[in-house]
Amino acid sequence: MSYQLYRNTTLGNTLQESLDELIQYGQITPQLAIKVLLQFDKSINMALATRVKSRLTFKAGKLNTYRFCDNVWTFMLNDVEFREAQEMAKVDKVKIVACDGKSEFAV
Amino acid sequence: MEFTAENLEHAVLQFYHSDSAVRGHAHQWLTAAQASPEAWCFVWELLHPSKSAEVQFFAATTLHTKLVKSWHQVPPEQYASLKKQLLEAIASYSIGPKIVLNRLCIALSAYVLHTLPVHWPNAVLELLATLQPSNLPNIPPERTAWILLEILTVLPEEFQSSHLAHAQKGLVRNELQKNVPQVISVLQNILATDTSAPNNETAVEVMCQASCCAASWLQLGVPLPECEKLADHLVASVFASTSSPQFHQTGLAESSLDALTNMATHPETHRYPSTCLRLLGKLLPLQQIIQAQQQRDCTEGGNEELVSSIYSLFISFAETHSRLLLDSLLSDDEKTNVMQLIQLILQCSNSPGEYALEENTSQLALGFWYILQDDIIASEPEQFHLCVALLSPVYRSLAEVMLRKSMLPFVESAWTSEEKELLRCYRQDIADTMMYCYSILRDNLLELLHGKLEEALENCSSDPRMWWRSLESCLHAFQAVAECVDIDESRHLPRFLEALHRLPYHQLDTRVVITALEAVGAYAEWINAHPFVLSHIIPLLVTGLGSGDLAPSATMALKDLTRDCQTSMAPFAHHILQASQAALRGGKLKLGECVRLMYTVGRVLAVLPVDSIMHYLNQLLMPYVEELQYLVTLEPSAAAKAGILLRMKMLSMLFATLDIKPRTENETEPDVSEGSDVGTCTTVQQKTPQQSAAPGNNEQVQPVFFVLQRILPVMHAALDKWYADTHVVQALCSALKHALATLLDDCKPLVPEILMLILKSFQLQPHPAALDLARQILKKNPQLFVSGEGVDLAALFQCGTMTLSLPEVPAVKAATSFLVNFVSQSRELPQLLTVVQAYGEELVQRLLQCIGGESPRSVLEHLSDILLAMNKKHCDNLSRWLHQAIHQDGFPSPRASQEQKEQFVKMVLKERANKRKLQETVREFSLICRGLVGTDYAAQSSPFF
Repeated sequence: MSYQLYRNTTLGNTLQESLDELIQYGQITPQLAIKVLLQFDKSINMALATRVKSRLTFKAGKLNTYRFCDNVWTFMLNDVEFREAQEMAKVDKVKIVACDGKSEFAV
Repeated sequence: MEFTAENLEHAVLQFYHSDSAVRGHAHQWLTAAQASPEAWCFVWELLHPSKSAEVQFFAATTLHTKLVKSWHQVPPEQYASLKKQLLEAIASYSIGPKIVLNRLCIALSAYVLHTLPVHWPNAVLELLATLQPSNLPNIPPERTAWILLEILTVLPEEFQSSHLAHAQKGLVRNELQKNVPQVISVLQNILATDTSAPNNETAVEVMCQASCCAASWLQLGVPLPECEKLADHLVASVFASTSSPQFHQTGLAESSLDALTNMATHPETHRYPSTCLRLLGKLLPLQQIIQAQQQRDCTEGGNEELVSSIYSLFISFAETHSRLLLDSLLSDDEKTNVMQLIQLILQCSNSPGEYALEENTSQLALGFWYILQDDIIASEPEQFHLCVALLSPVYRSLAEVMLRKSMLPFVESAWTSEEKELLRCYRQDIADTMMYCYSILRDNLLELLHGKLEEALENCSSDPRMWWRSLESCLHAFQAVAECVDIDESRHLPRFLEALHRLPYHQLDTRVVITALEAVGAYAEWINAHPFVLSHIIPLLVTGLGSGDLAPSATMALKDLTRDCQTSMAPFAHHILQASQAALRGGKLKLGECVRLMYTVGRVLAVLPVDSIMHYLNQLLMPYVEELQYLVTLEPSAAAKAGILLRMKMLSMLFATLDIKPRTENETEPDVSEGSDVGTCTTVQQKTPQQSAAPGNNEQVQPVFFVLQRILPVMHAALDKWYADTHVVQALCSALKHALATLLDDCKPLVPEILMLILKSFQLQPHPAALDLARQILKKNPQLFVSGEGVDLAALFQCGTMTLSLPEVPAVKAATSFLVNFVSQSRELPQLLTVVQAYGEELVQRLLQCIGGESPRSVLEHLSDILLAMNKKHCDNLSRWLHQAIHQDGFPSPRASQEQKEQFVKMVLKERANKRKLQETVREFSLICRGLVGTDYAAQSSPFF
């Protein structure tokens, strides 16, 4: 079983939009759509765990809220500056949801 | 085609020996064959020794698949015969092919998992008893041992990957764990007898298999006190494998180290602290192998992989038991071993060679230093002080090692981009580690760094080409700890920043100067509390602006400083502005840097008297305005677009920062995201006169007002030519938005013109950025919004309605919040009321279409907000419009029945307060319209995506 949190990303949302449309027009069944969605979970978990090597730093003006529940860390940050090498972006609010990536793939 | 042995054999051959089209077809047919009930019969025929290895392998794989997926097809009375067949098959394949034998062993373990504990209660013990040389006289004894070990190895692995029911899984786990002592004893015997005299290849193979098997069972979990002897044997195997040539290439050392790692890191081990420490004593001698390999490294090339594996074992042990290590540090008996372990890990961090190019080992230890430091900090005060006293020398050495390891390469051009990226990440990790060193060493680290800096400076003065790397790594370390140093530190940092003044820039590699600039930026907050150091660093910053290589870091550092130390910058304002002007005109800056530099220009200008500001604006900005004016007269081209965008973004940044009536701290900062043109709109509070920092400024007109006034006609012209270009319209709206956020009420005289601009943009082509801007004005000052003469509110409302159907979520979101604001204010302002009454029906129709399937489900949440606002303010009209709409046949979707539509309308009209409930109603109805209601897919996909 893979984490499903990546469904709520641009890529995941776009996939679900496409699946919705395909069902609406009778091109695929909802059963097939769910299979596609589960495969998406698997692939994106695997890809993010094994293929991403980039790293960036960020600094938050304020850590607004934090919690650790059901093995998931959640952080809400305000006034966050992201830096990657020479580039920089500023964002008002950032929510970080962090799951244990190691235990998922250890077995 | 029938699933007969003959046909299958043919298909397998086709699969392996044909082109891809035939292969695809064969694969499909073979998969169907595997799924069919006939598979239970044909596998045995295909396993016949006369068949080819490919066919046998297919049969063994099919058998495993059947046992895992179609176990329910086997009636219990056939369990016994199936077991017999499996064991016989394994016996007949005892001499290979290995790949078939391996599959059969996995199949047998799948069988065991299904029959434990009810149908085959003592499976593991029986296998141990059956697979003995005495029972199988026809098979060589080593083969028998190998097969037994193979089955035992795959059994826990198959268990971990199996999908048994929860209850069954618990039962099986218990059964397996009951047999741990017997399995361990078998493994010990094999590892013990063979280490002394491995006489042939099979014996070596059996030993490797035994250590793999140990790794597999240890991962399942073996109580630590039961593995002490096993640990001895495994350590001995590692030694044996490195000393005897027979064992090279067998992987024995790796599998034994794996087994030891699993033993040392199993979560249950924390229950046996004293056994853990004894285990550490057994592992430490392995360091001799590292030393031997490193000595050999100098002569004949050591085995880096082996060294890494041994370090990894030590590090895994230390990371898992860091708390235990700290507690044991304070006991005299254990202290020596613990210190030895920590020194070993320090030695790992200090691996010889350049990271990424020559070695890959030093990064293994970085995580440990964090964990250890974290545990030290979490200790009770008494233990904390003792640990810090004991470990300070270690962290001191670590800091020195990090300084060396983080040095940049002499010649970067020889590195591939991947290696460069690895080094960048490694240096970032080192920067983090430097922070951990600071947590332990505090002031002493700054002292150390300062000493190293002075040393490097002195060396550089004699031979900069040789020594710039040590200088750079010192600066990098100072930058790394910037975040943790106290704001009132006043011993070391002034000396550090003063030293920057003495850097021989012109003789140094640019990379040193880049790091110096980054370090300055990192200390912006501290500098704000100690503004006297500014005079040391301004020359560095200004020099940086003049060079293309340095400009990115120089503009970044200036931005940091002007953000955090705005008022202290006043004495240097002219210097900075003149340098900025020269840099902007010098043509060496890239687009992003020009825009970023305008941040500094705006922030520095804001502290000057208005006369000076206007003077500088004329000099510095007017040329850009004039160029813009010219560019918009040109026919659209890529070059013209780039020119317009650059100037528009520069203006936008200036509008955001040149504020001579700054808000107090509690008010929201303007949004100046560099990354996005649209940005997120921040709520700007209404300002009262008391909140202004400088009361005298209140009567003064903000300079931005004049710039905006001057630029508005240019914007109109830009829109005429570029209305179809999203980027230009976004940049334009973003500039306006920032100007409004700075001017607040001061922008009143310009509002009609701004609204005309938005409207024009929409009439030509709708863009979400413009709607977002309109919403901001509406929310901030509705009166202002309706007072604009010639503003066609109806057209704006219709634009919003149309935008709801766009597929992009941000556009719909902007339109929604505009419409919600519009509707919510419409009872107070007659101009708005007329519009809602006239065009509300169109809006309701559009909403239903969107909910009925036209829009992606992700926007439903926003659409519900409009329904709620309408229901609060125009409930009668909403009811009428909704009822009229749903009486059209097949609207909004033929999938919704009349009854369902009426139920939906009833629920919508009922809900005037609970946003969440309304969202649910809308979602449910939308699922009906899309044919998704009640499907697993709808339940599983995220509610609003």
